[in-house]
Amino acid sequence: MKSSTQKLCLTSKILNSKSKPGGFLCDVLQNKALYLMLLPGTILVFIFSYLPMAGVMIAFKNLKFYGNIFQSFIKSEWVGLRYFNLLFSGPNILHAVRNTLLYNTIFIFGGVTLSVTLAICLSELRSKLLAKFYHTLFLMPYFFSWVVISYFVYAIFSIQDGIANNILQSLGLERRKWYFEPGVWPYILISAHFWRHLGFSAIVYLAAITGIDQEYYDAAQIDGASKFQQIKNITLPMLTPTIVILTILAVGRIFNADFGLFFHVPRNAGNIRATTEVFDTYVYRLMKSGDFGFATAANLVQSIVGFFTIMTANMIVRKVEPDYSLF
Amino acid sequence: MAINNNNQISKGSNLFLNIIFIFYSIICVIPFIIVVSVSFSSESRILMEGFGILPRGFTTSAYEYVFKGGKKLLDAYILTIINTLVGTILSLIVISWFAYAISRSYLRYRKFFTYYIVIIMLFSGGLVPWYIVNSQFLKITNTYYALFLPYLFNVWHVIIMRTFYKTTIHDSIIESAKIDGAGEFSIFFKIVTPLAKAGYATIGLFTSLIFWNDWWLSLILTTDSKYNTLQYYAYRVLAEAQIVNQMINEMGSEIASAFVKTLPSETAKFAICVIVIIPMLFAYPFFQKYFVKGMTIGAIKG
Repeated sequence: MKSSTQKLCLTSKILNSKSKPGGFLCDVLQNKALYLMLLPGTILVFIFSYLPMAGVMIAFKNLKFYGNIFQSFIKSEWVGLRYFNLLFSGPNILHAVRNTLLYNTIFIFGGVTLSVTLAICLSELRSKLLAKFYHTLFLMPYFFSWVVISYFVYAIFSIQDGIANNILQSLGLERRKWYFEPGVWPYILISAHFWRHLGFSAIVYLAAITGIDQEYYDAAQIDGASKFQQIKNITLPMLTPTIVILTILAVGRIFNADFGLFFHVPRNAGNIRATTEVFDTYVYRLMKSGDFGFATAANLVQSIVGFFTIMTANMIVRKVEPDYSLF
Repeated sequence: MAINNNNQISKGSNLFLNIIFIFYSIICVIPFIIVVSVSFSSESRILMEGFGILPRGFTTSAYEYVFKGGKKLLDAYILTIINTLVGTILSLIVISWFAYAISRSYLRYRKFFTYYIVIIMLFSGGLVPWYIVNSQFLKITNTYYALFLPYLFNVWHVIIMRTFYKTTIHDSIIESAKIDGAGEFSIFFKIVTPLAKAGYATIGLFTSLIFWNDWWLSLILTTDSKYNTLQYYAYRVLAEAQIVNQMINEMGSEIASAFVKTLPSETAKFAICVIVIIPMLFAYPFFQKYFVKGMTIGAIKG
């Protein structure tokens, strides 16, 4: 006995055998509850992710507010590519772009190297209990927010009371004005990033390692391979797909900096902006000072370049080893 | 080289690794120890000798000061606790529903909805349009909604949850329940939910960590201090102290002295920091177990 919805679908299928609306409505009618479950998420994503995409038009206008947003948008003056031109000639932006790219490159490639090494070393430890204990401690910094970490950095580098200056003084060296010296901050920021993220990134590789069949290692040992050889010829190749995918994803975000790190740890100190300003903090300051068009143009460039970067990275990988690519 | 039957690394290498790991463990823990020590130190000794790994002149006066005058801290605490609870529960509902729907292979348009949420990871409209949507369209700036609505949907969590559903709940179970006449929703609540409890625990913990540690929403979407989350309040304590210090440097201490009196001392600042961290430390052991499991599944399948 066919249900009424099934009869409806059959009829519409016969009448519109190729048209999608029939098919979609059919599916909705047959799976009403499932589509109801999709509804809240769909609406939320539309509002918070797709609507802002339409807002990139703001990059082409000198946005001033006249009543509600639609009126403001229509009445504001069209400036075309003015903000994009400004972007590429503004002095501060070069610092922001350079810093973002350099930091992210170090984070990505240094990060992979360090976390894979950490994961392999942890998995090779003789005592599994100790390995678990260490990993628990390594993971802890990830649970602190950047605000809390900015307190930690302050405890070490505070000019008056910090541990660093105390140690320097006791060694007979000069105290330094840490929050005024741009040169030291790359080291501090990179260390802070890895301190927080290493334990966390190692989890993925640890999981992949435990998934490797033990028989490979047994066979290699019987053949007389040393530990180093085993790692080089079994562990690393088995990890490569995971490494490649995660790296491609990371490279796609190479123009997006970790706002929390670069906003909180340097504590907004103006003197060190040359080495601590990144694209996202730059855009944030633009928005705070009311430069909406400029800020949107900057973000748009970020998104487009990021999209091309991830597509290029994926294409390169696909040429070299098709199985490893993302799409 | 001694032959070992278990294919383990040599004892020498093991010792070497252990030493490095102990060293690194200390690095992971020391900043926290310093902050705790300073919070239990006497302010006068700190001003003379600076921060240290051990408390200088053990005293709880910083905590007394914070508890006595700490209405803002308490408000932020309560706000963050409620926000984390509400946000996590709502997010779990939204995400578990969406993930369940796209995990069912009999949903014809599930691919469309999967692409729908994956595309937003590749391209975004940026900060300004997002802010305008929140302030002009939704009008939630300076309301409580601003503190959880934007975070309710999380693509990674959906992907992880979808994997959980796919691997633990086969369509055959749903089929047989449907033949028995059950509706989709009752299937979801009576059969699926108990089976996917581990997945919910994982996503729930991930989500509550995000809410608990959040300062971003307070920063961008609110200006009234009653919407300060805990982390944002901690940020403001440090930031305001810095502004006053700048005032002292630029205008001289007489003008700034009125502001200086309202500032917490160094030890009080660190006491606030410790109070902010403590709940996370208690919850940490639970987190660790589910975190690792969740990351594993998410990474391998995602």
